[in-house]
Amino acid sequence: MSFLIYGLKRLVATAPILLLVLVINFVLLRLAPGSPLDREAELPHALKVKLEAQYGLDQPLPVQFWIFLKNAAQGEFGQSYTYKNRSVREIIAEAFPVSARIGLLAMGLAVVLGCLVGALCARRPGGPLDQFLRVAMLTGKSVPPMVLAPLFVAIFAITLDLLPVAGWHGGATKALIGPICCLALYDVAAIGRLMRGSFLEVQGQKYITALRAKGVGEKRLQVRHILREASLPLVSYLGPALSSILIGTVIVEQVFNIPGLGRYLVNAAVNRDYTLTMGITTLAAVLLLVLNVFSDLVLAWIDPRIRLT
Amino acid sequence: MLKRRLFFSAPSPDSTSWQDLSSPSFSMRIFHALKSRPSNSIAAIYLLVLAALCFSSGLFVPYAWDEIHFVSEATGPSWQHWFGIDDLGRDLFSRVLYGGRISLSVGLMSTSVSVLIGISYGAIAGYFGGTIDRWMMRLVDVLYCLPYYFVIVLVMVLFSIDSLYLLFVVLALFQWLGMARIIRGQVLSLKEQEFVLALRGMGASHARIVFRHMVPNTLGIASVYATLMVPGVMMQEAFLSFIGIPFTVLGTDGVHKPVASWGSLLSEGARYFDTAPWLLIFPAFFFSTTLLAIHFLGDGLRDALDPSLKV
Amino acid sequence: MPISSRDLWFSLRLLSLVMLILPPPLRAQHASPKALHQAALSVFRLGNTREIDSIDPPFVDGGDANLVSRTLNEGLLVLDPATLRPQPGLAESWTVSSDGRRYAFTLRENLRWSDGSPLTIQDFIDAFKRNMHPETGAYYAAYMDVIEGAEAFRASGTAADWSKVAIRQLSLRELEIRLKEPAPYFLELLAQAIFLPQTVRTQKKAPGQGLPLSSGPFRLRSWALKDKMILEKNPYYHSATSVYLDEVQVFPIEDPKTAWNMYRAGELDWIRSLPASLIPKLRKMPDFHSSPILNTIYLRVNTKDLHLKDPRVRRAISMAIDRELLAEKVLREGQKAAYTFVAPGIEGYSAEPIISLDIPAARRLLDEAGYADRKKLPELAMIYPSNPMSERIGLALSAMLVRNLGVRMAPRNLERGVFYDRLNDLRYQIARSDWTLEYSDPRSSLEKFTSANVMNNLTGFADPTYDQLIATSSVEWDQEKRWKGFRRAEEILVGEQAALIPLFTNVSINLWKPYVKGMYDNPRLYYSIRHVRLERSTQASGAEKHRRSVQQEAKL
Repeated sequence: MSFLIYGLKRLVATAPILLLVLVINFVLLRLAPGSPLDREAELPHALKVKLEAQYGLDQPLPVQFWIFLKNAAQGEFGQSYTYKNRSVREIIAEAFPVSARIGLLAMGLAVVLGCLVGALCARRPGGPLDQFLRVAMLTGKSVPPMVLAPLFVAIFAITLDLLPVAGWHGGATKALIGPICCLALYDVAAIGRLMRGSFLEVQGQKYITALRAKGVGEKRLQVRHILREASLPLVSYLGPALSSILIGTVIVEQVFNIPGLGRYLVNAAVNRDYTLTMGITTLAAVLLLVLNVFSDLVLAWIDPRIRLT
Repeated sequence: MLKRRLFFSAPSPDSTSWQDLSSPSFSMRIFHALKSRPSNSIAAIYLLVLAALCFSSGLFVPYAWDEIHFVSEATGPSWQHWFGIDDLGRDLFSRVLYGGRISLSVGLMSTSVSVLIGISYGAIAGYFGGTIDRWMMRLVDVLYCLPYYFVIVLVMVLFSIDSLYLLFVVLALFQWLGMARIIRGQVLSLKEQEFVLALRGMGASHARIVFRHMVPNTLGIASVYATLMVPGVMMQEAFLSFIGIPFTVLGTDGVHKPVASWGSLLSEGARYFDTAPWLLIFPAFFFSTTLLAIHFLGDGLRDALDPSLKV
Repeated sequence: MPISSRDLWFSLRLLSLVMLILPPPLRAQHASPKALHQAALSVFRLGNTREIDSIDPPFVDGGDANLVSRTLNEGLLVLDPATLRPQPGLAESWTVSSDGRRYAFTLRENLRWSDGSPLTIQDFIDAFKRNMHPETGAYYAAYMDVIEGAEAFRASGTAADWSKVAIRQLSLRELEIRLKEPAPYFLELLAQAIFLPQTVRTQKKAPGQGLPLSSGPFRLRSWALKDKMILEKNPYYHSATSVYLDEVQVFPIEDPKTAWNMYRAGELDWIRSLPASLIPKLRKMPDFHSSPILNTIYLRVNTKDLHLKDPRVRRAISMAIDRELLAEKVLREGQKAAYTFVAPGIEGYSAEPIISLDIPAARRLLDEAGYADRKKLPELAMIYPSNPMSERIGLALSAMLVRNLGVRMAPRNLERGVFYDRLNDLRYQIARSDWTLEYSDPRSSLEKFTSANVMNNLTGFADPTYDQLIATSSVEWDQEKRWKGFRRAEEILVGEQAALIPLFTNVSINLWKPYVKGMYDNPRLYYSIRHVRLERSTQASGAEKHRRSVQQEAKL
């Protein structure tokens, strides 16, 4: 019961934040100089006025925002300014699964590998494997995607010819490998470090020793107790990390020519495409908030002490 | 209430005496931390040498970082140009060092600003507790939830911000949140020490207690967290430069031009990798090793000051 | 302790859990029957330089969109890609009156849209009407102004009266268009996207359901934004039997390196953008095709700016730029230095340099203009919309001006919206611009800078002699007089007043595989896929062999 209440409380708390985010983004976009109707071979002024009316750009800001909110609540963001005849919804519906798939897979890989690495390190802290892996993880954290991605393409795709150079290829596995590896490396390193510290701390706790003394099997111990507590920081880390991966794919999407959200966003911002930009940032904000709440809930589920405070 | 462990530890078992918590022992502890493991000192020395080289590069490089020569093509390392040149004939060695100056400055300055803000904010919130604390932390929560990456990109792109100094500020504005939280946590526990009561009894003002006594004790964890923040900031700057947001500075010939930060060098290098791989390799090497050194340093500091830190 | 089997087992379970959340199509795609089937089809894969916004004729913008639009649709006329001479398109013949003002077109018999429904003159008239209508907001509606009554119609808003526009249907298959003045380039203009026929009906059957109908050799089967467009042969095209390709796939690829990598790996048959650094080496390949195009990159100068209002200052700047150095050592793609604004290549029109490199004279001019003490001239800003090549140009020009003239000019990268904002409001000093001739006549370039043309001028330049020359030459039917008048006007614009500083003319860059036949490069970038055929024994082995040979060559 307290779990549900806690969940509800968290959800309610996020609503005003979401609103704030939308207002900020909206205002920023409108304030910025230039408008989506800019062209070099200019539109005659009369026509520009007419188009602005059509897109609702001539109304006072609060009215525009209210219209936007009403529509957004129904998932309707209007037509994109740059990709005519395509609704923002369509574009996002096409691009989001792409970014999501890459992001989720990369994160999934990072979690699995990271936990593995962390566990390996924690077995013999200070031992040769631990030391080696620690250095490896630090190195992983020091090689950002903007360095890794071009190198990856150069080595695996061009020189060794193992993978396709670029393109989405409808999501075929071979097209996914490159982007996922480039994205995942950093998080494997981060998660590895996190989990190492976490495993170490939990392992050293007295109640684990007590359980061992009681005769609880190693396997049961590992999964039910150690993992459960050690995964707390991981869950906290995952929330914001996942949503930032969605954004952080900009580079990977560029180098691998993938039709994902990150690239759309930068292009939309450059073209001052109000509707598309608002659509993407709204989605990102919602995701970020929902994931945060979700991770808090998972935390609360794993560690009952948290919901009681 | 779930009690959290104290985030600092002094060598002596009795850590409640307030004399142990004052500044001098802090810097000593840092120094000992550095000496304790060779990797720490190597990292520190590397960073110091690199920083010295980068910031003094103007004095000894044969070519200015923005000196253009009209050449037929980019060429690789040679005796004349140790790291080679790009297609506009600019010396890469000079540019990498200059880029280091920029990236390190951004990293250090942004981090310093956010540390200042973060510590003050967190200390005040933690010390006063109660409603003040609740509302201050709520603000932090809200700001934490903002998809700030978007906001940064949007702001820089839409308003065509090209001043490097503005970038420091913008980055700092989002970095201080984590620091605030950590410091607050620290101060919350410190608050319950006896020495605070003693100080209040002596009539010390709130400001004095917070800034002269609490804050110095948080410097340990603050410095660890700060060192861990710097790479993040550097990577953000690199990201912004990489996706094409330009920053201008006054060049050596008196004309403003796009700055050669490591991020922009990386993006250029990536573009020309096929024909001029050195353009990517050298900046990447320096960028990565610098990040690595900072990570080592941060880890070393943390391990020495308090290994149980989950930071 | 080594990793126990328990750890492995645990990780495996976790991994499988992760895999479960993935949607089904994650298995590798092996050579399926579909792939083999495709080997029997003739599929042409090309790379566009960006995703296009629209293929709707009034909103077709840029070479990429033009290419796709004209592959899907055909107008009254087409141009022969090898010679650029007008050829029959949907119209089988036409006549021109002796004064050059009245055109009559006869459509082919039995024309159909790609769903089989009849294509009539009305479809053309409706299209023209829509494009001209002020409420549509067609980007290049101004092209139609040469038609009698068009300009008035476009300016009249909701009260627009179509009957005043001189486009009439004479009979079942005859269309008449009258021009307000003789325009020797009108036929060329008709091959542009704005003159394509349109219909509101869309495809009814899958897979292209809901997509627009086509009048040209191909029809749209699918369009996955930013991924690819698939065009399939249009069985209802009037000359469908002479179209060799079965399918055309269009991939929007913004990064030239990616485009090259895909081409190199045999995943694309034709690309039009390459990484600049590779071009000198790629030139040697037989795949490489390039031709000078009627496109000039130039700098607009704000003649109203405090320091730039003296034409001597502007001329000095123009004369201090070493264009050859720019073209050879900075651009290196084969661009040519431009000393005129109208790109060379128009038959009979003089291409003699109007401005040239003369550093001593430039310095003198600047001194005369009162800037002997160079510090009096503050740093000038050259703005450009984000573009790596523009940055290089800006930096190079900056270096040249500092060294040759002592003038400080800083390149300033502006985000596109901001750039156009500043340009439109004349809040700039120097702006990078480029212009491609829309048709082979200097009018296309020069009429932009009349004082009346506020929308396109954007420099504050206003010279009554210039305006007069443009006005009289535009309606001059005698070519020699016409050319002379335009040339004189150009000399004022670029030479005496130096409101524009031409830099270089571009070249087209193409790589297409040796098995691609029927593809031609031309100065108007008018590519035609209609006649393309792929000549290879089997798709697979040919690609294999060629890929190996390209790789060999590329390991230069």
